Amino acid sequence: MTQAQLSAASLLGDRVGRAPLSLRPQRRGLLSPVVLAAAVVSLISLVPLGFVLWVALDAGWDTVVRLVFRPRVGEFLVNTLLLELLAVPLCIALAVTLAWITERSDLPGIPLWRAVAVAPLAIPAFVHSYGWISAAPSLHGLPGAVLVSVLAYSPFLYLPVAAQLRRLDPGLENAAASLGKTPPAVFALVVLPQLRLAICGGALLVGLHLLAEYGLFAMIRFDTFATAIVDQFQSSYNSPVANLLGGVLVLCCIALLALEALIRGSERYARVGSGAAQIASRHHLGRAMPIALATVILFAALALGVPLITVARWLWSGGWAVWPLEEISAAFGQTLALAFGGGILAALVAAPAAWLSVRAPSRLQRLIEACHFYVGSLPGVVVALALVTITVRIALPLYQTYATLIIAYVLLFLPRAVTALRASLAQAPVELEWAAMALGRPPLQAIWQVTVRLAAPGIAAGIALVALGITNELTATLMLSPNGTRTLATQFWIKTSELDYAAAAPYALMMIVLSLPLSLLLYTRAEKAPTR
Amino acid sequence: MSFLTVRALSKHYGPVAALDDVSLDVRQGSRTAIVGPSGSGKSTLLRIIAGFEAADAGTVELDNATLVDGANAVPAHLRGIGIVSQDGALFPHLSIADNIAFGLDRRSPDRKKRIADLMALIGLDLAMLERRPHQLSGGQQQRVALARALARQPRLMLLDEPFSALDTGLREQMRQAVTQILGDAGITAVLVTHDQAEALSFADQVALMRGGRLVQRGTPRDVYFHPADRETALFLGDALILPAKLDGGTASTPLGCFPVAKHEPSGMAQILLRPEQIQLVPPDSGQPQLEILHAAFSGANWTLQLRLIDQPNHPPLHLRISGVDIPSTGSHVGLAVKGVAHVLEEAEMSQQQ
Repeated sequence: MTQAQLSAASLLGDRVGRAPLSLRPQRRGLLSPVVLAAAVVSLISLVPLGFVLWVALDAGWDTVVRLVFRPRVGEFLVNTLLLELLAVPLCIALAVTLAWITERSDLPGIPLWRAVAVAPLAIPAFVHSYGWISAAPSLHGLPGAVLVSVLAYSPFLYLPVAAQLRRLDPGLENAAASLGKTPPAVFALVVLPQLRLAICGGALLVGLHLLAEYGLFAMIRFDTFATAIVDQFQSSYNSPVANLLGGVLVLCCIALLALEALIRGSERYARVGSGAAQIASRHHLGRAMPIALATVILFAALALGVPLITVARWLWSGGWAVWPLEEISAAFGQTLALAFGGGILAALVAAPAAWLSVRAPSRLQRLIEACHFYVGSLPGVVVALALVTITVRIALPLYQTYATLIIAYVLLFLPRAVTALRASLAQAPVELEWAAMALGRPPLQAIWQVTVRLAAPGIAAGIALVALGITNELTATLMLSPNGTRTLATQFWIKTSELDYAAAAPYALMMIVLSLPLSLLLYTRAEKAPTR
Repeated sequence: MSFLTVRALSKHYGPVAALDDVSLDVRQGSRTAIVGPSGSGKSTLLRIIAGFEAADAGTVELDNATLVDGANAVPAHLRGIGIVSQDGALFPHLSIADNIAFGLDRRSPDRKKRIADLMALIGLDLAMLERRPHQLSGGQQQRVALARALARQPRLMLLDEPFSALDTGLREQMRQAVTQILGDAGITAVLVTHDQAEALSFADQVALMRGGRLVQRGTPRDVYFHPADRETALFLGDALILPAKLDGGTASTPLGCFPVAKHEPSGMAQILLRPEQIQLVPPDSGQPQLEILHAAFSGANWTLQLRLIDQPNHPPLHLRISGVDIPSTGSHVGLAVKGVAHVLEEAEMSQQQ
């Protein structure tokens, strides 16, 4: 650099215009508008929990005893317990097996099998059910419920387990091998413990879905709290029985969350030492190859083949008659509008909390974030019950409006939005914002031009993830939507309730088509994102 | 005449004091280095001057305009202060040209020429203008960050460890280049660094921070040869610190008698010798003799472990010196000292801080 001759004068030619300096008070801490906004969202997200407490108090202890301590409720409890105890471990075993095959074995066609393991996500749970009862009409009760839910929900466990497996430092496995451990022993002693966090997180998600799911179990004729609540609600809306069952369901969710926290413990597994981790080598399957191949093919046939072939078969037998284009396109349009309207609103509402967690972590911020996350673990039935009761009692004009429906969607999928926004904001370091301000941009402009611009892909992904959830949401939609609402999910549900399976097939196909690109997005993001 | 004036600045994070009553004056056109170990509060000070963070108490004035007065502050974008941070903070979504022009007026007619001038100034080829930041090397990115900040002709340039991510050789080169550019443009600069050599070679004024306090400031020579206390002395470089008995301008130590400043009061104290002041000489019967226990070669220097022959209880001394002919292990040597030994402040006082 020998440009010293470039004189100082040429550099200091015309200063960029400067406004007169004036001191302004700096807002910080509790009074900052971001904290206020996040706190307001947190308070709204506490409404369903407040509703459950209110129900219990309002009904009085005698009513609670009379309505809750009944053989019928005991039956739901036993059903729920059996379902969780059977489906969750089976899901874990299936997901870990698939993850090991796709990440650590030399089975040919890995990209295909990875896609197969994730693809069931693109099929709504109640469409899985629809596929199975068409294929095997005698399937019902606990065995049917366990089979279908394991197939439908295994991707929730496969995604984090496979991602974690890919990130494990093979150095540890090599060290264990050099200390004389056989490959199965290495897997049990070194690999499995390191998958614990991923398994816990995924199992919790599956467990919560089992508690919340209505459509899947209703169709396969298996009674859970969720199906009982919806039945009660539909026979007599705003009934104390439904509300109290909702309360019991929330207790189940809390028990599950507590159990997961207990099992997860406080241990953290992290790589010790620095430097880039090696890439794990794949195990040679050898003679076990046919077994591995059979496993993935069987999974593909059961989790994808059955529902897809059922849909195709009904479409074939229904012919053009099952395609009332006007009705279908109306439902498609309405679903898209609700999905993206809800997605954008969820992103806006989640933004303050995500911002705080990246830029200003504190004890208050963690509390706010916990509120945002807890509401997502509540079943759709409970959120819907709460909103129905509140609108009927306090804000009747809002009862059965799109506004209430969208609020329910936002609450249900708030964690997805916060997680996506948090990760994308973390991609835009605060130093860049500072640099923009030092170069003369007012704060809001700096945030818009730098941070929002850099976080845009992540924000879009967050909106898409919420939209995916809304597209496949059935329970809250059934309970809250205004008269005349026709989404793909509700139309599908009406047709199957009328046992017109052929007429339901086009809606199932549309939901799958709409979900595919969004699931692909979820898959590619899970590949990159760190666990938890 | 002070250009940047910091007075009694304080900042707490919860119970932790990041800045505790810090005051600093910077002359116009000068270069100041704020140096200290990590966690000393130097980066917090820089961020408050830049306007990215709010102070709890104290004032900052630039060119007679108040920028910070307690919790009231001028927003960062109105201050006209340039900053170059450790990793450059280039906008990854913009080309090099757009990065440099980020702070320029869009409608400015000579925008293109300004960008070209700045590229010439930082010694980068114009062909790089269309590249993205990730296509540049670390050193090139730092140059672009400097050009981007210079484009707005800041009154004050803040440099937040801008060289620490660079390789050793490049670091030296970049430091000289930046010093020259800022000097030619007459821009007042404040550098924050944890590298004492960088601070000493860059600045006219060095300010030393530790535990949120500004413990000493002065010219590089002054703080190096006359550090306020033991910790400062060791932070700024290798040092031989010896117990001494002072008496009228002479310090008697186990290694012999050395001159000190006349005004030092008599009594027990600790004195400091820098390795540059010390030479090995052939043993002389009148002076204490030392035995070389171990000599480790590290290129430019030797690190010697020495034992006092007359005082077997004295712990071995470690001394890093340069030279071609180093006496072999086991041989006896004497020490000769150039210049005046520096008397450190009371050890108790420095430990309280």
